Amino acid sequence: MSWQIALAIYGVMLVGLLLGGVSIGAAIGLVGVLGITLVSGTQLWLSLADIVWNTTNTFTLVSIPLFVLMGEIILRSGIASRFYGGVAVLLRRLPGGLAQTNIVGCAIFSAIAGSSVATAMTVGTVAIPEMRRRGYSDSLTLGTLTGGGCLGILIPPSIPMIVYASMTQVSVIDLFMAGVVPGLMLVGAFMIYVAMRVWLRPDLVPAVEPPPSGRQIRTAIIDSVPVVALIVAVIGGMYLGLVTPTEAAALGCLIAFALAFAYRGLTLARVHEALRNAVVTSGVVLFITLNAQILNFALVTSGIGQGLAEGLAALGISRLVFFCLLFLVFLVVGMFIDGLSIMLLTVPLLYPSLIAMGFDGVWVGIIIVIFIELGALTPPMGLNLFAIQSIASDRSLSEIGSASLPYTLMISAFAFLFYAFPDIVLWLPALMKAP
Amino acid sequence: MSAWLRVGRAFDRLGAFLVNGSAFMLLAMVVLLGVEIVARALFRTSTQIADEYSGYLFTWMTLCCLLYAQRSDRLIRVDSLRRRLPPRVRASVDSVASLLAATLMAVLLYATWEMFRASVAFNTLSIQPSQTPLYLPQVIMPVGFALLIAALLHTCITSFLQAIGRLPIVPAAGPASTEPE
Repeated sequence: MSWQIALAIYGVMLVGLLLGGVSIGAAIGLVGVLGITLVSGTQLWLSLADIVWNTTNTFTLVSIPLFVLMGEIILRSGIASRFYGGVAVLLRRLPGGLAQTNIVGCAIFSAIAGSSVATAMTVGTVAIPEMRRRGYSDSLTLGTLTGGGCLGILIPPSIPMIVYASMTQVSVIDLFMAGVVPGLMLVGAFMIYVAMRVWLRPDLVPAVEPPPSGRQIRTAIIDSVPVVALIVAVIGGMYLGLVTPTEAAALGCLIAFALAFAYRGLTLARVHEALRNAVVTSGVVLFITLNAQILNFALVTSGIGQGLAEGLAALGISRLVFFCLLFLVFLVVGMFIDGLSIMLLTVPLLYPSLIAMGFDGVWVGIIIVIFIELGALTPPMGLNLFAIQSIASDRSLSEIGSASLPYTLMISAFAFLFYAFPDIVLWLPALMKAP
Repeated sequence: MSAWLRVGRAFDRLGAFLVNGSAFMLLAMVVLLGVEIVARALFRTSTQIADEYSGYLFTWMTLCCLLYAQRSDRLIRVDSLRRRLPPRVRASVDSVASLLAATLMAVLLYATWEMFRASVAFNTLSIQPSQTPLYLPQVIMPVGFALLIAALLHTCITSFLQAIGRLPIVPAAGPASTEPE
């Protein structure tokens, strides 16, 4: 069977299973098993055990539940709320006030949570009631939360980056470092946008508040420092080579526990809830990941990956056209499927082609993460939109989608900027390796 | 029918028990890696087992929580079309979807059982310094998939009974309640 026919069968079957309500992981795995069976009967079924064993036993992936747990502890112990309050005081005088706090809060909480929805939910839970009480317009507030939440998977640690690294054998630390500069640039762009919007429409925000007193600033710094120290310990430990990413995640958990106990913010029930949520979240991720590895195996055995790479090379498509097609595919598919699943579906298929075209593996990882961020902002399956709607339940999904549109456009523009100047992405990992 | 519903509740209780076990394993993983970091940083030594055993714990943790994830509808799916279906049609679709997922799990059960059996037969040991018999960490794979198959078949039959009107239909699930990012 030619790879083109095999690809068509895979595609039709996958769409049918997904629309039929089969869980994404099982749908991917079923297509993979069918593909393997079409090529070599049941002979290769025993290899599936190696795939399951090697995936669930990968040391890199062990960091996923640990990073999720770290975020859960910070969230449930009340440290996240204190941190938000502290940053709000420190940024009070910036144009946009609490809207700027949302962006900075999301950026910093991203460095703890590793997930877009967790970031948007955490900051949103604190921000929305407070901003409504003070008279901020929802059209400003909601966008800063959905857009800011997207930073969650770009600024390290990032669960999609960990999964991408495990699939492509790219260094997790390189990916984490490569996400820093693009993440900070997006933070800057979002903040400039908020400032300009408020300057043009002053009615979106309440009157400027008086500057904070010295005592308020001291308290704000005390409330903000623990979270910043945690991030410095986790990212600094990896950057300096003192700990592996997985050890950094465990170190982060220990520090988060210590902080939570110091603030007396943890009860046994909250620890239990945090642990439970962390294992279920990572279990769901792993279920999809191991099934994606089965599909990956099927793509290799049926020659689809290689065939597609050679086919695209023969067509002579330019890198820019290919990049634009990739952008469109992620934008459309991202409207219906969650980001991680898109990544797990597309990376095995497209990675060989992208590498054959001369793209860098680390750069590809960052671009794919940026593309799947767009999916979190586009209805009907925009998870960040759902997350914020669960807090602001009186707002429709389309209102939240409209508020998020400028951020979608900014993220898209930045993806093309990183295409034009890939060194923006690759500079920090290269600097880290420099003697 | 009440006996059938009791079976479902038994799955729920077992799932909750196993997810608590998974939570304990995660905590053990934090402690193990913490000891490794401290041992290396302060005493320039290593536990020699932290990487290996955290991997085994991860395998156990993942397979143990799948039953809970299935029972609590946390396994993410594309719900936009399914939610628009009339309740009985939706129940029929769910029944088929569960059966298909159970089929995949049966293939994985077969493969992982054979791996476990081979590890027992040849007394395969880990290549790490611990020389752990690999059937110990591997036994959870066939067990986890077997439990998932049983739960999926229960869901399949429950949905079928709902589709033919023998059981009341519960409201449609909302969008996936978790995000794997």
